[in-house]
Amino acid sequence: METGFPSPAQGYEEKPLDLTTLLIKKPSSTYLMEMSGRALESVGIYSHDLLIVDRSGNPKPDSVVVAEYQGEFVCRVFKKGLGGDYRLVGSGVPLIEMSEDVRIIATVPYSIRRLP
Amino acid sequence: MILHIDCNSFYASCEQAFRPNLRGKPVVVLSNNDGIIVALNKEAKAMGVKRGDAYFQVKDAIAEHGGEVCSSNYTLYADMSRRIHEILVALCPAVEPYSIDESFLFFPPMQRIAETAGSIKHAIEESTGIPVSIGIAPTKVLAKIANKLAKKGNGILDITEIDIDRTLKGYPVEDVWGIGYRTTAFLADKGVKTAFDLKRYPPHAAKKDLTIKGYYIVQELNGISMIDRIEVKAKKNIIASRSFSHLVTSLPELEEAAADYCLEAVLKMRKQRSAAKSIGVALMTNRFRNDLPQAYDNIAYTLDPPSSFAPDLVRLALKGVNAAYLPGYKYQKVMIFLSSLVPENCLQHDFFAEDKSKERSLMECFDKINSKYGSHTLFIGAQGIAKTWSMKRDFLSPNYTTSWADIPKVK
Repeated sequence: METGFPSPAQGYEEKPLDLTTLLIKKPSSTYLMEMSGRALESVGIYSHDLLIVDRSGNPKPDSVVVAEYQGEFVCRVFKKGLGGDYRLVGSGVPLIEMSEDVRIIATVPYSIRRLP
Repeated sequence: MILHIDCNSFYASCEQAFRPNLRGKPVVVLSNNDGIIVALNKEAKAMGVKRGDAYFQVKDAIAEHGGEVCSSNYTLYADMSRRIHEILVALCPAVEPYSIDESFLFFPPMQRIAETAGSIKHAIEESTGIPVSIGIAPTKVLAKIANKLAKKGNGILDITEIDIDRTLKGYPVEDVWGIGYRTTAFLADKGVKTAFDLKRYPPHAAKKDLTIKGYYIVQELNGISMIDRIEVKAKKNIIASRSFSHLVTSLPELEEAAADYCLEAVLKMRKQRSAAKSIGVALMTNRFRNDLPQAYDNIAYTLDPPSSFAPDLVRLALKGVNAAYLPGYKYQKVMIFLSSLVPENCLQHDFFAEDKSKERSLMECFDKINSKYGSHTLFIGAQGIAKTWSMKRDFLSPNYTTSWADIPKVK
């Protein structure tokens, strides 16, 4: 026995929005990292922010990238210099010229911050 | 064509992928309880370190070279293995995982297969930071040989592009996949020393002298694929999965299926007297139904120490289903993976040995009843017995990909 009225929304239901599918396009190549330090404050990334890091694909100019440099992971902006060569740039940290000692391993499509 | 994909120094490479300071440095991975070396990278090999060496023998030398000694972190390795599997499944319609770091891929005959192999290699290395090599051949046995040779070159080798016989003449018969210690001794008496000699073994004599399995190996060396017939004695992985007769949306139904498949896998594993170091659960929707929302999730847990105890494994399988399940999706398939299997009698003995022998006799009783009265006579009802085992893992790396507290930091 049915009681009440059938929902007028029946047949119109859709999946609720899911942040994971928005933020992580390629799960198998995506990792999460944590920013430590102030090198990217100029682009709005602060210490302890969560970084979505995708190892697949190549960086575009001005994208935020993760690189292996001097035995550590660093997060910087991938910038084209005046001479056309690329370098890794941050605020208050030395510029990193591209060389064999620098390996860009991933791009950072999103960062996430908890507000106070 | 068959591609055999093998990760280079997989455990060590997983550790290095998250520690840039270890690039180019020797890395060794220890067995459970930090006893002996079970895996090492080429830099450690170059120092003369060998599998089976004790930790204390090498620790100083490794440190001097700026390298690292790691406890085995199967949680990390299982997650990286899962990622690699996902990448392979997206690139090839037929993937057969063989172990935590090896898979066979089956392709229809095609032009420029090496190019395809190149893009697969690139995709894995880019997405995970783990180097792989790929052997290409018409059979599994030849693909394994091609892979060994590929490791010495640029990482990809198509055996049909080289002089096969010349290669096989330089390839020791004991290194052929499936040829064990005893067969090697038997063959040596007959003057069969290289893979080429074995290839020339008369097929009818092979059947008689080497059993049916040896016959298949001879056929595969001759380029005749015996794919589904080669059974490796003790499998390193056991997978139990089935597609449902109808798409399933309810969690209790999925739980029941997972528990059922898990028991099936445990039974197979116990038959070969192995224990698992890791258990994985995958839930997937029907990917050919473009009209339905798609979901795929794969959860893995580490077992410390390795376990063949059904209640523990079923409990984890249920936990995995609950973690992977998304309401509203129509599921097609549940898969249970028992991986990194080790021989049961080789388990490191531990403080609670007495407890474990009770578990073992319980499981033996369980197996006997089920084999006598049918596989579902006894089954796991309540949640399993939780036991907190502790193990020595002094050099355990963080769970970079599965624990919020452990995600890598960048400067």
